[in-house]
Amino acid sequence: MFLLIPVVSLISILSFRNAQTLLRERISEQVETVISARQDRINDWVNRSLRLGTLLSQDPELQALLIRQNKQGTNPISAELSVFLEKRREQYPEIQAVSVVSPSATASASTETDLPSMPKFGDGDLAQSAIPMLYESSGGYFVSSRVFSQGTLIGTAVINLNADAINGILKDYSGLGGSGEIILSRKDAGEVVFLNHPRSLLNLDGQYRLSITDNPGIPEVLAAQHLTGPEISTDYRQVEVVTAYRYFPVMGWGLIAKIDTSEAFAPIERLKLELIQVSLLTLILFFLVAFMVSRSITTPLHKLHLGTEKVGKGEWDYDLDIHTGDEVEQLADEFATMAKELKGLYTGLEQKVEERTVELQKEKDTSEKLAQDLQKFQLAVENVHDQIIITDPEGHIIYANRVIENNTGFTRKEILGKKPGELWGGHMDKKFYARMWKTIKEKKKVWEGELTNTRKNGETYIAALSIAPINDKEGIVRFFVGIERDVTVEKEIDRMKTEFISVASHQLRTPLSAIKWFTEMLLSEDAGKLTAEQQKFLQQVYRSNERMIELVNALLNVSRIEQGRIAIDPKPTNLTALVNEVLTELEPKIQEKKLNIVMSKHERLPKISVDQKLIRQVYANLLSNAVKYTPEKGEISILISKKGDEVISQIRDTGYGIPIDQQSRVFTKFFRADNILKVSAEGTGLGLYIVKSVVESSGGKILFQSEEGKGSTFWFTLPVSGMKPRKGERSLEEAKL
Amino acid sequence: MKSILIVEDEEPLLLAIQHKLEDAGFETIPTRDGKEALARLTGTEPLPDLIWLDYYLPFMNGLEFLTRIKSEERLKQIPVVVVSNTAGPEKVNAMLDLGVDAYFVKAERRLNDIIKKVQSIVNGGAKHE
Repeated sequence: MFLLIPVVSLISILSFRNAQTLLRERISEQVETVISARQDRINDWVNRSLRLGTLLSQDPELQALLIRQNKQGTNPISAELSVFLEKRREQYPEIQAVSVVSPSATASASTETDLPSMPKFGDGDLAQSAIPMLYESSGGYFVSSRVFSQGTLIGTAVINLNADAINGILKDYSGLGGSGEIILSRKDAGEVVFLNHPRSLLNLDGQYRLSITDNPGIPEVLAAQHLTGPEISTDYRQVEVVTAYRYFPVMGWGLIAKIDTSEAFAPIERLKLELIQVSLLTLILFFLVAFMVSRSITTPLHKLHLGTEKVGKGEWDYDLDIHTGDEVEQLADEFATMAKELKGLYTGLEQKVEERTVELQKEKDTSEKLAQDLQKFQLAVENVHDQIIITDPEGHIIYANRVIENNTGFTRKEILGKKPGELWGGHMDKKFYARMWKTIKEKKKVWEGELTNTRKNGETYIAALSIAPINDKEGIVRFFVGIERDVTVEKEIDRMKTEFISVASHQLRTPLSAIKWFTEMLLSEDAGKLTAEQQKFLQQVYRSNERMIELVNALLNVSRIEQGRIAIDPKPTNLTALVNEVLTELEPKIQEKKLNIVMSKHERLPKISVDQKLIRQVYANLLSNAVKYTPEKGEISILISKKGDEVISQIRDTGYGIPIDQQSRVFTKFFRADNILKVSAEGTGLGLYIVKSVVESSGGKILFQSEEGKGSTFWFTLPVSGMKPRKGERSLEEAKL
Repeated sequence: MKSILIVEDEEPLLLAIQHKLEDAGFETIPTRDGKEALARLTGTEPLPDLIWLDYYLPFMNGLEFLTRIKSEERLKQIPVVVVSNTAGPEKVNAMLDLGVDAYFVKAERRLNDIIKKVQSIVNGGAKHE
């Protein structure tokens, strides 16, 4: 039944289309047949008319009369010629009037008193031709033919044809129904002239004219230009028609036959209407039947539904009252049995539920308290700029603040109950997440890190994330609070900055090398003897250049560290020996300032696996700072000890110290404290930044304590387990001490 | 007179090296890139006694140049000293593996120190720094 409707509709549409196409083809064929027949008849008429012209021009009597006239001069025999012409007119009904003109057009004779529509012959080939010519002019049809005698032109005969025959052909609308027309047209300068008056122009005086430029696609206009258009188009009356085209080359006539589509396609329109009526009727019938059938099914089902609701509310003995005698009744019976069994079970259950309710109430109170706290928290964080989410202990999101929609592209509705890993996260390796979960779930500590996430639109971004577990009184994790910030742009700017420094530093090195070498050559007197003062000045140049080289080296180190390009090549190392090496290099300056060095170490200090170049640089920077910024006769003490799984190095000086208000910036790039700027202008401000970077990338920590005027103490730790090897591009440039 | 082929694209550095080597009594053949240097090594006899090579060069870097030299029987015996503005440890190692006699970082070294090393190599001194 349901299938029937589309099938029937499809068949009707298809058959309708088919009929439409067929009818269109048939009408086109019919118009084509009509125009072919008319074309043949017009051609017959033209040929007959031309033969008449030939007959006249070759008439010996006419020739003799014309020869005589030409010999005797001006028109003496026009009366005789007129008689001759009258005779011929009577002989041929096709001739309406006929005239003859001498070659010089000085003499003429005609059946009419005034010469009707005498054509003007040009000087072209046609004018010299013996072949007669048929043409239309101002609504009349003419045949003109030249009369020759022994090759000499002796006159021209012009027949004004009786137009009844051709008008009869053009008025014959048989095969074109009640609206069809046949139109013969001719191009006349920028216009097209209708040679006949079709049905709708019967009352017109004179000839109907259409401008070609204003009516370019009209079939009558096309036909006169030897063009054709689409089978269905709009004609001069702005009516849609089915058209066929013909063209008569010699006369320059276009012929069209046409029939109005409104008439031609009327049967198909009727068919359409009938089809619609039938379809509508079928539809109504279908819905009527469908409604009745469905009612017979739904009524008992509705009863069943009502019954389940009642039983659901506890009316165990409710009677369903269904007697349909089919599957529905069977279902109703089974339902009644089930209700009875449920009644028994339920009574036992009620008691248990009461017990459990008391327990639940307790739990609920605790949860509600937490939820209230959470609500306060939510209110506080809803509009902050960092992304904040709260998850349950399994990681399902239970709250996210507003900014999450901007950050991740997900709406809050979409993410509730899901895990971040299913949404924007899950792009780091498994170990990364395993470590994270271990920290927050097992150790119950705050985890901080950077990770790559993906927005809903697929764009990746770098996020700085910290996750804190929220525990209840018993120490059980209830929620996790994650605070996240999109740091993609910051990261990119940082990377560009680092890259810039790296390139710039490289470029700086070449001229620095040139200055170094040429100064060296001058100083070693390669270019001639120097005065003592010249020596002194060049020493200054040399030293300044060395400082510049040192700065470039430090900048390169910083950029490599920041790009994560340093290679780490750990080897078992005796840290004390490393410190001693550095102290040896610093010896001249220590001597100069008469500093006291105290070195002590843990009794059983193990060798630890570190990158010697890197750790040497850490000691070198810390110790050279201590030497540089401790006034004469001060003390520097070094202590290396082991505590738990860490080795701690302590470097203490009695130097100028770091002003308390600047201590927070000690490890930032290019930082130099105000008080030491007065002591020494030299220094890049990069040393401690490099130290911190190296120590932290080695798995250690660095801290310090300082008081202005009293001195500073720096501690840094290294894990006893040593550094992990890493393949990198370059090793650090060694600092000059 | 011992001759040294210098490959160095930085004009001032080339001038300094040339000057210093000539002062030390060497004949110098200055070239600005690996292509030019290779052209100077093909066909002309006698071959230089040492090649002074920069790493960052136009057309082909020091390692590529060195690979070409060391793959030719006729040229591979010529000692090579690389004097460059840092190259990564892998590149330095690759060059040492190919048989570089010494490696110096320009800005870190006095020209005199490098010349001394060159003299010791040319006069049949020990290899490697």
